[in-house]
Amino acid sequence: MTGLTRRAFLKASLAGCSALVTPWIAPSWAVAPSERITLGVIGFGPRCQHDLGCFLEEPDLQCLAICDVQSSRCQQARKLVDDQYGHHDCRVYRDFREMLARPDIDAVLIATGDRWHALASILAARAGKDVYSEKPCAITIAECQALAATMRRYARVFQAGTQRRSIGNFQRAVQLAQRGKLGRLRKLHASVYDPLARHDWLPAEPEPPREELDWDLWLGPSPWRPFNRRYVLGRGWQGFDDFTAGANLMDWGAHTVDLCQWANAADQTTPIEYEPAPDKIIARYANGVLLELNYGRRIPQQSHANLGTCAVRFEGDEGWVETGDDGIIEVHPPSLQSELRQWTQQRRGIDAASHARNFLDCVKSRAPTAANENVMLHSHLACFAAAIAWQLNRKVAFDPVTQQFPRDDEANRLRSRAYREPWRL
Amino acid sequence: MLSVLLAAGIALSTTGPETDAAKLLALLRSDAPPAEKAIACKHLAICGGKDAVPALASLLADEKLASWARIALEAIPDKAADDALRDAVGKLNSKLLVGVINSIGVRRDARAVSALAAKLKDPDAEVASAAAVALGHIGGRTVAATLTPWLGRAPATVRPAVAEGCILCAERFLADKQYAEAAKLYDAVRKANISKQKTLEATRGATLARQSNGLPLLLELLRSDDRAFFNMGLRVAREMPQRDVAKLLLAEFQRAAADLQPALLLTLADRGDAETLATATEAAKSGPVNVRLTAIHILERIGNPSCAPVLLGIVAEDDAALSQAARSVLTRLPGKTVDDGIVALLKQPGANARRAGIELIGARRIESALPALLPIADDATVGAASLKVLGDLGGVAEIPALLDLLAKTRSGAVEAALATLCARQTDRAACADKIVPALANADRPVKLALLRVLRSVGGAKALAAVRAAATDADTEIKETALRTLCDWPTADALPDVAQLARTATDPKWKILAVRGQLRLIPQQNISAEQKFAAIKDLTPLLERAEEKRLLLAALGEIPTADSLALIASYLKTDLKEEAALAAVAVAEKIVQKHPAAVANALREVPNATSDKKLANRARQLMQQARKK
Repeated sequence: MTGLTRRAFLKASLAGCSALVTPWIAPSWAVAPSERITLGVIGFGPRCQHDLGCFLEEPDLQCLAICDVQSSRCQQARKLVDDQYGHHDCRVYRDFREMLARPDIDAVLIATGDRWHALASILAARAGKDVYSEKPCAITIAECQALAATMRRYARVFQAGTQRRSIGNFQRAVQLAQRGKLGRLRKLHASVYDPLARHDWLPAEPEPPREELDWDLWLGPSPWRPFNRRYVLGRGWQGFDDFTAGANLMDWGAHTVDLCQWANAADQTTPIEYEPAPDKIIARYANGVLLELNYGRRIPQQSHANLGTCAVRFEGDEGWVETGDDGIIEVHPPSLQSELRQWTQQRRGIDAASHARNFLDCVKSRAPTAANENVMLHSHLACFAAAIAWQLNRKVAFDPVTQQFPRDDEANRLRSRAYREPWRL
Repeated sequence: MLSVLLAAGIALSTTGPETDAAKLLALLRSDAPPAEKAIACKHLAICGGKDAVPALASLLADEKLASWARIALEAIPDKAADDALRDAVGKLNSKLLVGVINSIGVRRDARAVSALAAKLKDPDAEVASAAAVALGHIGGRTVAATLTPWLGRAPATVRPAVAEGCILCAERFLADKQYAEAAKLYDAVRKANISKQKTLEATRGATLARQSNGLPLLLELLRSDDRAFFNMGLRVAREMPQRDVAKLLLAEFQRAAADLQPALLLTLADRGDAETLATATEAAKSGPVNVRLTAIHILERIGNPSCAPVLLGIVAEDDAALSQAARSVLTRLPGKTVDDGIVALLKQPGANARRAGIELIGARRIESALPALLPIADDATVGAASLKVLGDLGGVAEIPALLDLLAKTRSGAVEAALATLCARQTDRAACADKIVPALANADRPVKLALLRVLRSVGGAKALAAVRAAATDADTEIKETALRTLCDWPTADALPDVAQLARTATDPKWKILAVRGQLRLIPQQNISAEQKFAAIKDLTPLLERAEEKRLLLAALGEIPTADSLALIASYLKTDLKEEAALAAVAVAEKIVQKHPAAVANALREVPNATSDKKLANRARQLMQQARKK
């Protein structure tokens, strides 16, 4: 593998700057096989269709294999890949461990349901693969810690699917905060879903044939429950506490809290206190900055009506900035508009193309990605601690160094959850 | 109560009857359905104590509920949970036994070491593997002594887990600063017959555990022909805090092949050592392009004005990627010395350097460089770039020089620069004071250009000059002035435009004038009703679809019921999409005051538009209106 290619550098340089040159994109057959990164995909759900589409556009990437426990999804994904390349070479697997055993696969894209993200990433790292994992990357604090430690121990390149770190308007907003253009930061707002944690079981239905859907493998490390088709259609598993993370807060929180962490230059730490309120959770960093996770997918104080999804707002002594997936950046005072000069939005918040490119560049250079395991760990810890405060319906303190709740046995019990046998972290 | 909780999405509350451990335990012992027992286990994970252990332990043999029981048993701190899990080791087998062993590992029960050691011999490879890993989690010298021989003894199916257990144990030694113990265990794993991934992992650990003495191992990694080992070396180099690592990396960078140098340089930069800036600056100067690009990328992160001279040399190079990369860094580097260096580029003979200098002056907004841009504004190679920056940065002081240049060249680029410059000024009257007198003596081409520029100036004096030119005997001047009036940015031109619409015989002027009115009427400082009345008066003059579209756009900015009604009359025409958009825009503003009008007007919108979001907005507004 070579170092940073000229084409990749051009793309990286353009992030957040006015485009002076449009990079030339070479078709894939123009890239030598030795320079190509080979990819396996684990889990082809709704989000993966977008992610994989982004990867397939990259000329130095070749997708070799798809794995999904639902055979219909495997076939759908294979068609997507074969149509892209004009051949029928993409192999499909039901069990991702078979795919991980292939020495010709360099990296994996993991876009299963949340319950599988951490363990699949860990097993992939142990098999010598670099990992792009959709968020949330884990569903408990213990999983997050094990995931980060594994990536470190195996020297794997890891990218969390928090692609807003690679999107221009969010980068600009964070830059304003980090460069002191808002004065001293006081409060950060992260829009999130209303918290929810379902514990019920859907009515039992007969399991389909294993060739059609492997229910045991679908469940993976989650505790046993009987099959019901509604879990596996689209994102029907969402909201169930055993299949997802952080009481639904992670769905947007993995992005918006992450952006707030970044703005506060807190990628190596987390808030130290979390207190639930009727419409939000208020967290406080050791440096005094407040972080509010605002329910209802909106920030009450936002001044622009249509920021779009995943809105964030950063407030300082001398100004504020707010932005969201629609690409609008609102600032105050108006003089901050001069900081946005010569900038053009190139991608929307949900677009993973730049993030995928960053991952591929780092696979080649071995440099840390924009949303590497350390960044992921701390922003996820912040979300989990907030979720635990909501679950216990009281204030909790969290020590970002020990990554535990000091003298709080009840909260610490929620840091991990047993895996269903025979799976282990 | 529990079934209510099961049905609803609700927090696992710590108050209320569902936290009564006795009730939860009774439920576990009952013949309640598995779903209820499962949630009881989850509650006991938070509130359960020693008393809960027996009931939970009784579920360890239940294939459906064992993992639920272990959720609670792993969480309950009391040693009774350890005892129960240990006890279950002797009673279970296969997957359920593996689960129990895994939970023992999570709990790090040191009293389970001998029982787990015995399971290393289990004929079931999954059980033996689970035992090895659980021992690793427990850690300590006894575990290290127990596991190490099994690196050679274990069958191939179990050996990876033994290696995993050894490394987990070694990681704990490392975290506890027991470096010698850690190194010994890592070395044992490295020597074993195990996978490459495990060898890599152990080599990382062995290097870190040796601290400063790990440098030879680090060097071995970085000089390996195997890219996986080289990559591990890069990661370890980032983790080792010792200063000597920077020197080692620097030496390796200098001797390495070109394809490896970027990765080494990035590693050096990620460490943040003092050597990085000088190394990156030097590497940016010459050598393979990929290495230079990496170096410049690093300077973008950590560079300071001392790097500017090198970067100023690079911007002049022919390689577009290098030049652009250097420009990107120079755009951000602070300080007057950098500004001065950039301005000095204008004096260089090569066009690349001068063009780069001009663009950087614009990007950094170096207003003091404007006098240096004027003399080269008509240069064949860099004139266009210079004019663009003059337009973006210049002020009233630059207008006379640009007027002279316009007179000399009659260039469209000069005209554009003047227009851009004037549009940016807050003191438009000062611009008019310079430009209007120049009209008098200008020849025709220049006069035409200045009339167009006056549109960007605006204001009373400029308007008066254009108005006067609109009666000029020269047809071309007259028509240019009329066009400028029709395009005038502010409503003070309305009387002129309205008169033109009334009196023009050439349809072209009627159309232009009507378009101007449609644009300017909403800008006036009058009531919405007055605006609507003025626009409505124009409707008989509108024959073409283009003007009717402008009508709808204008009405869309007038929040009155009359405006909405007029818009609605277009919902069944070819302009239905535009009408739908305008209707919703007005309805959003007036739904509180005029709900009936909104409900009536929007009825056709869902049928009129193919935009689903717009149709939904219309439906929501109608719903809102009906509630009033």
